[in-house]
Amino acid sequence: MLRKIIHQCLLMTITICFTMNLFTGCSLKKDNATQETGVRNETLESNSTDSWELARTTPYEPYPEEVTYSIGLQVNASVTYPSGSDDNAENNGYTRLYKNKLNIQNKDVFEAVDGDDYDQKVSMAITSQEIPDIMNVDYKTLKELIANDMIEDLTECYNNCASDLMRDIYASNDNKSLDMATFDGKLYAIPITSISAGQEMLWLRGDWMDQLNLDEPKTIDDIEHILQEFVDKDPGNNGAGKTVGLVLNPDIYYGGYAQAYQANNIFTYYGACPKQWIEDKDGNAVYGSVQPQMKQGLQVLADWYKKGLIDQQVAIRATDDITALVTSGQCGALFCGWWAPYTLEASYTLNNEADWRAYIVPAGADGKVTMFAGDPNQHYKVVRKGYEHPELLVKAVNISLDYNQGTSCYTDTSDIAKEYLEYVNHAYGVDPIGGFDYYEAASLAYEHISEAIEGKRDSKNMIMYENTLFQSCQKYQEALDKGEKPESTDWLNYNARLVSSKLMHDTPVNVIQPVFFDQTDSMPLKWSSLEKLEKEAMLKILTNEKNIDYFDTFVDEWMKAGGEQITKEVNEAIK
Amino acid sequence: MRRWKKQIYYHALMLPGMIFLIIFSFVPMFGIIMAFQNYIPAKGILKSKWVNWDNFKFIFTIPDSKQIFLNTIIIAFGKMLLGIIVPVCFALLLNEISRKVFKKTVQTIVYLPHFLSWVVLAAVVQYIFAYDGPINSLRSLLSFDPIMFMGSNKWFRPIMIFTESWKEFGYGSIIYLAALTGIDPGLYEAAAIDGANRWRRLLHITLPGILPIILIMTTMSLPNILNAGFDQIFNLYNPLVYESGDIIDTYIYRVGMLQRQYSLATAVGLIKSVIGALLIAIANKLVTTHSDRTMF
Repeated sequence: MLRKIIHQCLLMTITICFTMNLFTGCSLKKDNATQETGVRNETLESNSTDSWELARTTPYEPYPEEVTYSIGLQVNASVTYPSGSDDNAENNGYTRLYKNKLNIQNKDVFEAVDGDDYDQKVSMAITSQEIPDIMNVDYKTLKELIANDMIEDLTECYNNCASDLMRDIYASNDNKSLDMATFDGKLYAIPITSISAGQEMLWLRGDWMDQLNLDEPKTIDDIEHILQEFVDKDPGNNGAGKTVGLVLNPDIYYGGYAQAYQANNIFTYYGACPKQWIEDKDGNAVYGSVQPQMKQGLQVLADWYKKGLIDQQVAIRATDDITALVTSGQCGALFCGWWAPYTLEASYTLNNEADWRAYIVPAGADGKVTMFAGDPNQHYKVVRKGYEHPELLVKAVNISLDYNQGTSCYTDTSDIAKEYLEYVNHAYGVDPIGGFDYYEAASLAYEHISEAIEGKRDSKNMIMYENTLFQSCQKYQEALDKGEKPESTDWLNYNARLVSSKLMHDTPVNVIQPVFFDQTDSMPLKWSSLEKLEKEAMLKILTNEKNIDYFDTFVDEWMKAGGEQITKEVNEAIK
Repeated sequence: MRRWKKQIYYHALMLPGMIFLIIFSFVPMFGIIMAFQNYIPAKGILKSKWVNWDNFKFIFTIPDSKQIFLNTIIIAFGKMLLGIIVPVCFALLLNEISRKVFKKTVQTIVYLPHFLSWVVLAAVVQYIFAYDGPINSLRSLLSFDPIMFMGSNKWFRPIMIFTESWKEFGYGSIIYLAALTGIDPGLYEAAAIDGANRWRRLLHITLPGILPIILIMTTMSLPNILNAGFDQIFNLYNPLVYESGDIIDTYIYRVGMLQRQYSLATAVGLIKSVIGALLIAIANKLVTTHSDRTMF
C-alpha cells in the first residue's frame, strides 16, 4: 500500500520537476565547467604536487587538503541517528571515518529512498545535466552515461587504488561484476555485487506437520500431500476453509531472483528456467518462460490451484497481504530462500509455537535442486566526468570494505572507529559510500558463525556483521539453556544463520548461469507489452481460467509481439 | 478605466489560480516536444534525436493498444453516464424530502467518500469484493458459489464504474441541489392549483428547471472520456484483469515510468489531450445549437 502511495506522489512530482528541468540543463553545465577549471588551477598552485600525486595513486594515502564530493544519497525509509546527537547526513559516524582516514567530505545533492524513487532522481539529475560527483545507477543508465560521455573512466583509479580486499571480493564471483562494468577494456564503475541467494526452500510449519504426523517432503507428491493435509485438517485452528495452502506472489510467481513467495523449484525440477535468458542445447540464447519445459511446472501448480492447495485469492494478493497471511498463521507453506526467517520473525513473535522448517525440494533425478544465478551486480557507483578526484570513490570504498568485510573493526580502537561501529551495528544514518560483499557471503557467514559456536574459531576472526550475528545466536542458545523464551531477533538470526544457512551450505545444488542481464534495443519499447502478456497468461493458467494448452497460444503471441526479434537481438548481443 | 479599477480586486482573486494553471498546465506543455523525439535524459530535449511520428506509429502497432483504448473508453463512458444519472436522481429524491434534519444528515454522509483517496478506498473495495468478503458470504448464504470479483474480467469494469459512482455521487449532487433551489416556488404552487401531482410537477417543472445544468455538466465531463481513473484502477487491478481493466494511464505508467520511455508516454498523453480537446469543442457546439446555452 505504501509503495502505491509513493508511486503516485512520484508520478506527480516527476512530471512537474522533469519538464521544468528540461530547459535549464544546458546553460548550467557551462557554469559548472568554468568553476571546475578555476578550482583545478587553484589547487595546483597552492599545494605541492607530490602529496596530491601520492594521494591520487595510493590506496590509503589521505588527501593533503579536504576534498569534497557531492553525492546522490540512497536512503531507507526511516533514517535515525543516535538519540541526543545532532548528526546529519553530512556529518555522522560514517562521514567522520572517511574524513579521518582520507580527508574527504560528502555533500548531498539529493537524497531518495532506494529503488524506483532513487532511479527517478538520477534520471532527473541526468536530464538537467547536473549529476553529482558520485551516484548509484542501474545498468541501463550506466550504458547511457557512457554513451553520452558523462562519467569518468575508472580503470586507472581501480588499478592504482583498489585494495587487495576489494579485488578479492570481486574475484569471489570470477570478476563477473567487473566484467559487466567494463566497456572496450575500460572500467566505468565500481559495481556493487550481489550475494548468491542460494537455493529456494520450501518453508513449512513444523508444528503443524508434527500434529498431523506428516513426514518430511521429498517429491512433488509429498508436497502436495502436506498441502492437502494443511488445508483439509486445519492444524492452525483457523476455522474450516480458512487455511490457505501455498502462497504465491501474483505479480511474479517465478523467475525473480532472491524473492519470496515464488515457486521456482517446481519449474526448474522440469528443466525450465523462467524469466531467464539461458543457453539452449544448441548454444543459442532463449527466454526461459516461453520454453516447452514450462508446461509441466505450470500443470502442477494449476492442479494444485484447482484442488485448493494454492491460495485461491492469489490473483489479488499484494506482498503485504501474503505476509499477513503467513504472520497470522493462516498459511503454513511458502517458498523462500534461506533468509525467510526475516519475514517469518513476526509469525514467531505472535505465536511462539510457530516452528518453521525448511526443505530443499523437490530434488531432481541427480538428487539436487536446480537454481539459476542472478545478475552479478545490484547497481553501479559512477563518478561524474570532469570530477577532480575520481580515485576518491575507490579509496572510500576500500575503507568501507576494510571495516565491514575486513578486520579493521578489531584492530582500529580509535573513538572514530568505535563510533563508526556503533553506527553500523545500530543501523544509524546512511553510509554515503558503503561497500559490498563476497558472492558467497551467506555461506561464509554460516561457516564462520558455526565454527565460532563450536569454539573452533576466534570470534574476532570474522567480519564485524558476522560477529554481531554470532553474539545473537549465542544469546538464543543461552536463553534456550535457561529455559527462557528467546528474543525474536535472536530467533531470527539463529534460524537464518545457523539452521537454514546450514541447509543451504550443506546441500549440493545445480546452478544455471543465465547468459544475458542487459537490455537490447527493442526491449525498452516492447518489453512491457511482453511482460504484460506473460503475467496475464501465466496467472490465467495458474488460476485455471485457461487450460494448459493456452501456453502455446501465449508463446505464439509472445513471439509475434516482439519476442522473436528480441531473442535475435539477445543472440547478437552475446556473440 | 474606472470599471477596471473597481474590478481589480476580483481579478486579483483569480491570480493564484492563474499562476497555478500557468506553472502546472502551461509550462509543462513544452514537454510535448518529447513525443516527437527519441528522448534520452542524458541528452536533454535540445539534443535528443527527432523521430517525427514514430512514437505515434508505434503506439498503434502495440498488440494491446486497441484493447487499452477500448477499456479506457468503456470504463470512462460508464463512469460518465452513472456520474450524471445517479447524482441527478439522488438530488431529485432528496429534494422531495421535507424533513430538514434528515436531508442534511444524508447529504453529509454521502459526501464523505469523495474526500477519501483511492489508495484508502481500494482496501475497502478489495475487502468487500474479496473471495471471503461480505458480498460472497451473502451469496453463499443464498447458496450461490462465491465469485472472484476482482479477478474476473466480467466483473472488473462494472465494479470500477459502480464504486467510482458510489464515491462521487454525493459530491456530484451538490450542484443539482443548488440548481433545484433556484426554481421559482411559484411554478410549483401554480401547478398544484392546476391539479398536477408530484410526478407531473417533477417532469414538467423540476427537470426542465435543471436541464441546462445537466447539459453543462455533461459537456464538461466529455473530455474525460479518456480518463478512466488511474488512482482507482492502479490500486485495484492485477494481471488477471489486464484484459478488461488495463487503461491508457496504467499503461503509460508501466511503460513510461517503469521502463523510462518518456517519449512514448508523452505521445500517448498527447493523443489523450487532443481527443479530449476535440470532444469538448464538439460538445460545446452541440449544446450551443440545440439550446440557448453556451459554455464559452
